[in-house]
Amino acid sequence: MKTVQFLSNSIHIDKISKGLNLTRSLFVSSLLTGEEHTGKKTFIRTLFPTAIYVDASHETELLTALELNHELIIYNFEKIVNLEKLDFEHKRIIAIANSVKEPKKLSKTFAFIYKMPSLKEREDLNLLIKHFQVESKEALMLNEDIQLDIEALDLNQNIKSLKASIYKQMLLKTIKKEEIKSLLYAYLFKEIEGNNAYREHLTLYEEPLLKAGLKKYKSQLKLAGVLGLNRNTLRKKLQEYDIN
Amino acid sequence: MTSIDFKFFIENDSNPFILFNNSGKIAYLNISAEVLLGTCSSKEIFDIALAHAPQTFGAKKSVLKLTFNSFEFYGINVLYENEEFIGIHLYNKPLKKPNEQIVLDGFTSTDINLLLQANIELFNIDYKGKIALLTDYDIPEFQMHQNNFSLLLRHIFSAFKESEKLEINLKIKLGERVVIKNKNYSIILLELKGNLQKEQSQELLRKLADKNAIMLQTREKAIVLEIPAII
Repeated sequence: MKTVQFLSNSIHIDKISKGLNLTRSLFVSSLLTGEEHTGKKTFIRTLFPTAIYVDASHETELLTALELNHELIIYNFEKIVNLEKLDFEHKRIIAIANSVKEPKKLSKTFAFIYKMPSLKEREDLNLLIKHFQVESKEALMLNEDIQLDIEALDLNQNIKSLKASIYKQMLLKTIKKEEIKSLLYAYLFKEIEGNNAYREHLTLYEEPLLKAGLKKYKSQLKLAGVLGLNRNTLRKKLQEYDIN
Repeated sequence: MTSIDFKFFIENDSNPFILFNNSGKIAYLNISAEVLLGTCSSKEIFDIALAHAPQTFGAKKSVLKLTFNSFEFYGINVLYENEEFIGIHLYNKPLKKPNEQIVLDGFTSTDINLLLQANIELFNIDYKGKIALLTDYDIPEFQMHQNNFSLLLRHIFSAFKESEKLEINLKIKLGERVVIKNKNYSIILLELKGNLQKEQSQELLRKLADKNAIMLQTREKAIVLEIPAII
């Protein structure tokens, strides 16, 4: 069986873990809710690796599993249509849901309701960033250490977007001149057409050059000198690309 | 007609009766009233009597809900025939016969300390105040509906969520037992003390308590559960 690891230094998550551990011998129903990709299922798997897991999207399968087992972990619980059909009496149930549709009904069914914090709410975000940084360095076979732009990391889809944005940053920050050329070659080979292709694709070079230059040298005067361009030409080009 | 001494009948009435003099001092009280005054002050009852007294000599019945700890009354009768004394009868709310209604389906042998601890952990995730737990770890396992009891506790705890401090005491109630289905059992007392939020639905708490065969009392700054230790 595949071993799973849930990374956390969060006090909040530690308390959830303590609560679930205390009830592991009791016949109670617990619900763990939270945004998508916050690691709820992985978290439960690390606590209950040998439990029986059933997908709430398949009602018949779920009802059979409920009949046969005293202990069950039900995921995708937000997909349940008929809560009344489920008999949790004298069972140990842990349900995992990305959202809560009928909070009143759920509140009557589940004695223990826990909320997994989103990545934006977690105080141990650095632990995850470090983990994905090491993982991506290995996966991309990079030798050098890369400084990540933490502000630019995407947390909107929690672990999914965080991981993707770290991989992207790691890749983009190590790309070499020759690789940029070959990347551009492949792109242009596919895209060149019409009768104005030169001007249309010039933006691929000019825009990042001007943006990076202005950020680095801060003044148009300085940048004009560095680029070897006339100040008026530079101003016109900045206006053209709407760069301030 | 021979005169009858009615005092014996009043004395043993299960509805409390108190006779006050005009300064509010007790001139007479029956046995039920003696028990009642263990949970409230005579001044409270006197004030109620004055507030609901008839305008002139005579008797006036009022339907009103009065609760003093576990005592519940559905109405009172205030009477006076001179300026010296005023009497009040408090009528007990009819009791359901809980013992006959108790359904023990889904009840299972439980360590109440473990169940309580799990519920405290859940509450403590968002609770900002301080929890003081005083418990007797020697309470033996007894039959409880673990999920329904936790549902009740969750609702009770949430009534204390704004309280700066929450004191939880769990112990065996000494000197009292409860008879359920002709068997008598010890009573486990769970007291939660702190600042209560009044908006918590009493009806819901009572309903959940009934499901667990528990007697629930709401006081000004406490909720007390009397749990039968069914074995």
